[in-house]
Amino acid sequence: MISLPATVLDELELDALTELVNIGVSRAAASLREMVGRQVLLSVPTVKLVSRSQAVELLGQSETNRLVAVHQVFEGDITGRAMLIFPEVNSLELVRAVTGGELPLEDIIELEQEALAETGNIILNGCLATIANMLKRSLKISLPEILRGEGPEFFELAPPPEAGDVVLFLYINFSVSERDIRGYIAMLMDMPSLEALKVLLREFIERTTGHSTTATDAPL
Amino acid sequence: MAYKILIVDDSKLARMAAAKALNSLRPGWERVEATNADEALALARQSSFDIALLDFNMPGRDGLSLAADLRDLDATMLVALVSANVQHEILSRAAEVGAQFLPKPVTEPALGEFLDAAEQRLKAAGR
Amino acid sequence: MRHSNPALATFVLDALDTGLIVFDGDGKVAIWNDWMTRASGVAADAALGRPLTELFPDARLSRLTAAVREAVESGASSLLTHTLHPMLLPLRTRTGRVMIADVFVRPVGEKPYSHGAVQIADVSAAAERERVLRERQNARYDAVVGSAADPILTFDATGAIQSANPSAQREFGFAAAELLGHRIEEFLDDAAPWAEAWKRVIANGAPHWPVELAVRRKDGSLSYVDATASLWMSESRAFVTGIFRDVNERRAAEADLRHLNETLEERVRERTADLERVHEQLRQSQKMEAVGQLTGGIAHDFNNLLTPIVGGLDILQRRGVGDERGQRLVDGALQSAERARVLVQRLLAFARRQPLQACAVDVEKIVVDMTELFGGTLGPAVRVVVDVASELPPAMADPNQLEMALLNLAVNARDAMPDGGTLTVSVRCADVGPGRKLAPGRYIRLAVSDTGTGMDAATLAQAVEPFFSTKGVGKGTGLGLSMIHGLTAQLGGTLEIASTLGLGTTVEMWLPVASGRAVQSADEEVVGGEGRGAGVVLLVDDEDLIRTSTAQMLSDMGYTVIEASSAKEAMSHIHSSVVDLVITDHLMAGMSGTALAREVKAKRPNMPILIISGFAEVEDLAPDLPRLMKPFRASELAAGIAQLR
Repeated sequence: MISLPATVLDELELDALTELVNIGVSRAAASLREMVGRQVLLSVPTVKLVSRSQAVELLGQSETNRLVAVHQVFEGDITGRAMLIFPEVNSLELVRAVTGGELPLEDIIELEQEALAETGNIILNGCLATIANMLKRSLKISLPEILRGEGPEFFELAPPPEAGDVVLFLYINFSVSERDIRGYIAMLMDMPSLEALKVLLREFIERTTGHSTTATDAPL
Repeated sequence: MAYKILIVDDSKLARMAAAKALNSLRPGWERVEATNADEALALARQSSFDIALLDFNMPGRDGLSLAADLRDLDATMLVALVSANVQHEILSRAAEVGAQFLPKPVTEPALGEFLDAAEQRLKAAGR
Repeated sequence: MRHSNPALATFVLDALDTGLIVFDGDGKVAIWNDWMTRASGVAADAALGRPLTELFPDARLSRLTAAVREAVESGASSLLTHTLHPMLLPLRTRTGRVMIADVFVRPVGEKPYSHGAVQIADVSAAAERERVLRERQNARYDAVVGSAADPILTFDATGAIQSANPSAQREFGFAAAELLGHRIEEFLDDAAPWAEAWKRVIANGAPHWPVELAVRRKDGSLSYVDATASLWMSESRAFVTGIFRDVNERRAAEADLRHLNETLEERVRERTADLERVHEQLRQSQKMEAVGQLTGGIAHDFNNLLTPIVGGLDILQRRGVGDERGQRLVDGALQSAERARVLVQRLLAFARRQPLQACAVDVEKIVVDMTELFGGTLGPAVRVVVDVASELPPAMADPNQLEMALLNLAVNARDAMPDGGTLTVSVRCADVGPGRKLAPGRYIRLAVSDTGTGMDAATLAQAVEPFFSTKGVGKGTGLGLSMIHGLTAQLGGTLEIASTLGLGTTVEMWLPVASGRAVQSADEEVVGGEGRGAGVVLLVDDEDLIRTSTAQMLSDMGYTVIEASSAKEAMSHIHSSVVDLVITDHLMAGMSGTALAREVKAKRPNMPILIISGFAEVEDLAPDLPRLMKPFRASELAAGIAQLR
């Protein structure tokens, strides 16, 4: 059953959110570069607002194999879970890139857990912190935890916090040492959080563009 | 002296933010917006721009590749690459294509500095 | 946290078995617990109010300071793992060892946060354990895979190469970095067999190993491998490890075998052709043999026919029968008969019945003598050039036959130059090495070259064949070259012909060098002059015509002739009559002349006996018996008789 969220973000709001996330992951890329020693490019080309079931479907469409996710909780004016999700096979690539590419496969498998946790931590923090900053709000963001599974279970995690019904679903592209790794970021939140986010985005848009949004942009 | 400036970014918000800043800093200048590299090149072929602000992180061709193409088209155009990804490699690649670097998000003071310097260079070049 | 005793909180911080640093909003140290003091060697007093970069100037702290800032500004928590940040801070354990630590950063206080807390956990023991375990695994792995002679690749579930052993890198010519993350299909010319097997193995089925693959090396060459692979799991992750055994040698051997088989037919064909060639040569020589025999027979008959002709004509000439014109006719007839005799001689030489009287011959002298003759025979349009090397050793040859050969070659040359040209006769000494047609040794090379019409390849091939002639009917017999060929072969040498159409021909006679000095070729002496004699001659010959003419010759010489037509008849005469001399033909029906000679010798030991033979049978005669070859002229008969005395 596909159900659209009652409160939606309009085009400009989504655009603003995308821009914020891109700034966030770009900063994270600069941060990662320090560790990796080679050029790191991160980009989020699209942001969608979907329901939990839609999110599971979207994941299932492109990924038939097992997934690994870095999970962090954010609390504040917006509350929810943020996950950086990779197909399990890609995570090894990521770890290899991040550890310099000289390690034997066995070592990489060993170190995957930690390396992935920290890398995911940097990226998610990049996203979330930037959003928080630009929206002039403070969040409390937890330490990372690694999850493995098929996909659906990521969206069925037990509370706290409340597993929201809304998912901000982002595609993220990683490029390190000429290796392109694709993954996803999913931010789960409940409706009140989404509404709060909308308000914050509006404020942000007005601040930066000088536009009063009600006048110029109509919701979808 | 009113210059013509090209703004390229796939994010509408970013373009609007840039427009707002430019309105405040250089109200008399002509502004043209493009959402991607192809559009930007087409516009640049049609008319001559003095300054270009390019978002690095764009789908399709990224800002660096666009900067190189614009340079081939008009070497006198002052190009700035805008990105939050401030890392060594991107800085040097920008320098290679003769583009300056502006960190994102672009603040008005930072943009102001860039425009001042740009104006000076254009005047010196006789534009 | 809830507490009843605020002061207790402070003690707790120092009692924790973990490092704790709290930074304020400017990144300066606000709290530094005892654990930190002990581990870093920096006392709290020294640390408070200072940024971390000042306390540890050599450490790479950008990530940590950024994390602290992020915590304060955005409330973000960060993890800095020992995996990615080995020795972030220079800390030591209680035993003085280098400490390996995980670092956690969290915001502290109410939002927006005023402080950032850094927690440092000592994971040295665990890290050490992990390290030992990994090393052991790696060692075990390296012992097998690292040093395996066969390329071994490990793939992840998507088929990307995750590991490549040194053999793989070496064999395919790529460094590890060029292989990792890539798919093996990129290096295969035909990925189909691998794709098929991959589907099976990844489903944990059993593909039909081995699969033969052609891998394109970095340098572009192909390497053939037999691949086997199997699936293994690490937790829930699937991997495939494959061994790619080099089968290039085996393939090369197979290719050789295939080639051998394919060319077997070819080689059989070649061998058969060779055999046929040999057979052909054999047939040719057999043919030559047969022809030789044939000509031998013909020559013999010819000789018999010629004898009365020559004899009769000779008598006529001696008697001066007829008028001037008649005598001229007789002369002409005699000359013709002479030539016929010479021709038969040559024929027999070709048939190899003529005994070759090989001796050491001064080739230069023969050439010089012959070339003096050439002038007349060849006509004014032909220029003769003689080129003889100095100090030539003698050649092993029959001088008469050599002269004949030279004459023959000169005539051929003349015929090839109808409009004139140059005839060159050259004589050289040459050494022949091993592996050639001729046996190794020294040879005299006698070459006759002309600037005439030359021969094409087809003609050249047939030049030495008997009866082959390009000269047309009536001119030449076609026997010359084949006879010279036979001659040189018999002497242990060879004949070489080179010719270019339109430019000329060179015929080379290679004769072995003789040991010993050249025998001076003596001019033939006509012994006996008139050959007058007296006495009774018993003439034995079963051929009436010959006997009659010979008897006539003898009586002209002054002898009294008793004729016998058989040996038996002759014996009866021996018994009954006075006989001073016996002349007998060898080849007779019944008893042969030789046998008769023995009979006579037995009876009359002192009886002079002369045996007349044709060229054909001369070898059958015992060497001690004086002989005369027919046909003969009166002078020769006289000489033959003379040698009996």
